[in-house]
Amino acid sequence: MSRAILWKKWGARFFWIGLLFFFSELAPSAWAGFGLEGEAPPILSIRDTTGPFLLEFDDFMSGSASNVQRVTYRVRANNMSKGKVKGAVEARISSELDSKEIEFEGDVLGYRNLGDPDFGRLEETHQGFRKVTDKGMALADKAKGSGAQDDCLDGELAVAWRAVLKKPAAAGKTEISLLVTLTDGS
Amino acid sequence: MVAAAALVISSLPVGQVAYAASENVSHTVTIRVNGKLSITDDTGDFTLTFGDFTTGSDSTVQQVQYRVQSNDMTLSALNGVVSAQISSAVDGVDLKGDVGTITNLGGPNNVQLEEQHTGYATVGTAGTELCKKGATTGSSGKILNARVPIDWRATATKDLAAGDYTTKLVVTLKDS
Repeated sequence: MSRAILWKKWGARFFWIGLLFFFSELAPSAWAGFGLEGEAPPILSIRDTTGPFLLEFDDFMSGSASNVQRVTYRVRANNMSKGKVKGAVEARISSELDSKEIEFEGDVLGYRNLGDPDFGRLEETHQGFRKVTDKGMALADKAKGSGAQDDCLDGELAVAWRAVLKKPAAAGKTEISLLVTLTDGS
Repeated sequence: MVAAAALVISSLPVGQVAYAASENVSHTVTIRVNGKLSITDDTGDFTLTFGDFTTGSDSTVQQVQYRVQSNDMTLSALNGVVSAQISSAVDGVDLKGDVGTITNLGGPNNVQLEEQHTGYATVGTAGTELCKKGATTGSSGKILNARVPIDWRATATKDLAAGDYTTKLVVTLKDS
């Protein structure tokens, strides 16, 4: 037999064997998904629509505070740890900021649950503005929800950001990167 | 290699793909400190009174405290950081200013003002330089925060008839 015929004969058999193997692996999970468990894939997401923002000082003396930028973060999760999760949302900045001169601060303004009433919810870790460093700072904890869906989050977390001068600052500007993280606690 | 990879993927049960335990959102934050240049006083208008009208007589002295602030001063040495001028000359009267002891309210690396003339300097309509700064370095060297006291008085350059003579005194702070 020529090589072409050999391939036609055995190549087709390998193809069907491979296909059978593929479906034999896939099928049980697929059937279970439809028929028995109804399991949704884990979701963990945090989004905002603000993007980059500017904090501006009109005065340069120690203690001066910049304008406040409010950012609303949409958080969704269905695989949170049950009960309280400390530091479920945390913030950190890049190390480019001269922390001796300018302090970057965040304050959780509130959380609005958009999901079922028995979903878990977020609450601020600290009251008022707290310094955010490149080591990270806990912004919000997950509080224990009231029911079986305590492991789900669907809501909006509003955070106010500002900068404060710790000593007189020369005119100029600096850019930092702010990272806000949602962790499911697992 | 490609076929092996495909086999691994197809053998993973649906719903058991490993998900990350955390998700991030990031912002670029610009922090801007605006430039400021400010000179203020709380004395307002004042009167200098002559006790005598003859040539060479001096009026009373009015001390005014000026608060000066800037965060964008040139790093170079600069004369006339503080200067003064009058809106119109007064016939027979010289207005004079003498910078007293300057109190620097900033740090040691901030701008340190010095008086430019020892004793009284006559202030005319063209402007008279009263304070200067030396060369400074770094971002701290762009910052000025000080209190500058200036004694103002008038001297009769001829015999004066009784009456009020008014002019406007303008004191200026510059950063470059």
